[in-house]
Amino acid sequence: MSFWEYANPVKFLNLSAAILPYFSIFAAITIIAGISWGFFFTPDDYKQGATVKILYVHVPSAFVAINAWFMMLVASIIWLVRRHHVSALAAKAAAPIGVAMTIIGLVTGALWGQPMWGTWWEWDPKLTSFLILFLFYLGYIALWAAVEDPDTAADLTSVLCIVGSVFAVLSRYATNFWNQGLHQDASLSIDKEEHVADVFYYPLIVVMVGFVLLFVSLVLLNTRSEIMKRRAGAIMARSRI
Amino acid sequence: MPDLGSYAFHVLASYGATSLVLLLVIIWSYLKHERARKTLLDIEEKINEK
Repeated sequence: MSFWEYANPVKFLNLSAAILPYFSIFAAITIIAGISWGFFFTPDDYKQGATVKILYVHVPSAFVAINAWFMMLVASIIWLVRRHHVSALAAKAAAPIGVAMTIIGLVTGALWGQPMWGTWWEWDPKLTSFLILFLFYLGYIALWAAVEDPDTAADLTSVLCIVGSVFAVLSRYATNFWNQGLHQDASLSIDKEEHVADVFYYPLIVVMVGFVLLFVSLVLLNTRSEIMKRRAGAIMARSRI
Repeated sequence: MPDLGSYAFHVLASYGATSLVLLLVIIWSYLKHERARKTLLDIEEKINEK
């Protein structure tokens, strides 16, 4: 059995129908459990006070917003190289979820920044890259909607995705490249010394797993919608002929 | 309910905004899926009738 078998739309629809309920249920369980743990059972931070609780929604949403673009990048490259329609449709399906996660990241970031930095917004490298990534998401969706031929739309949006990935990288690593910004370093790191204290770390990981599962569930659902929509269009076109 | 002190607005608004956006995107995705599924079923039925 090969991974590429699932580039077949019928196989993808069958597999996604089978796994979607499990992903959705585990997403709901982990998000509710992680948020409850973080909100009700963790202490205030000695510097940030109760605003540390914003971390449990801000970090997972920003993480998914950035990595959704990387998922779209991989799917777009697969489309450009191998011309699998399912991969182009999966990239298209991920974009609205990426927009939603970026909005959550921007809003919760502003709500954290106002009491901690004294401002809702700052033209800091990390924040600015993230805002540009949001605009790229909107441009990506608009481009899909503007081009009538689906293959041409997939080609053009794939190129846009490759260009926009610069800002996805900057959103994640800007604090490593520039040190004049307000935004602190990453809350999570492979190096244990660099990430948040364990009392905040474990519930945060649970919420992050939940957000990733929710992202996968919604991408599967939206990809199914796109495949069915295209299949309906193809049947209609054939019957007219 | 934990005591959020003077940060209550910021924390609760963050959770409220997150819940709202997540609910909207989940409902939108579900409705879009149902619409696509129904359209495809209707078309397949019509084709089979022919």
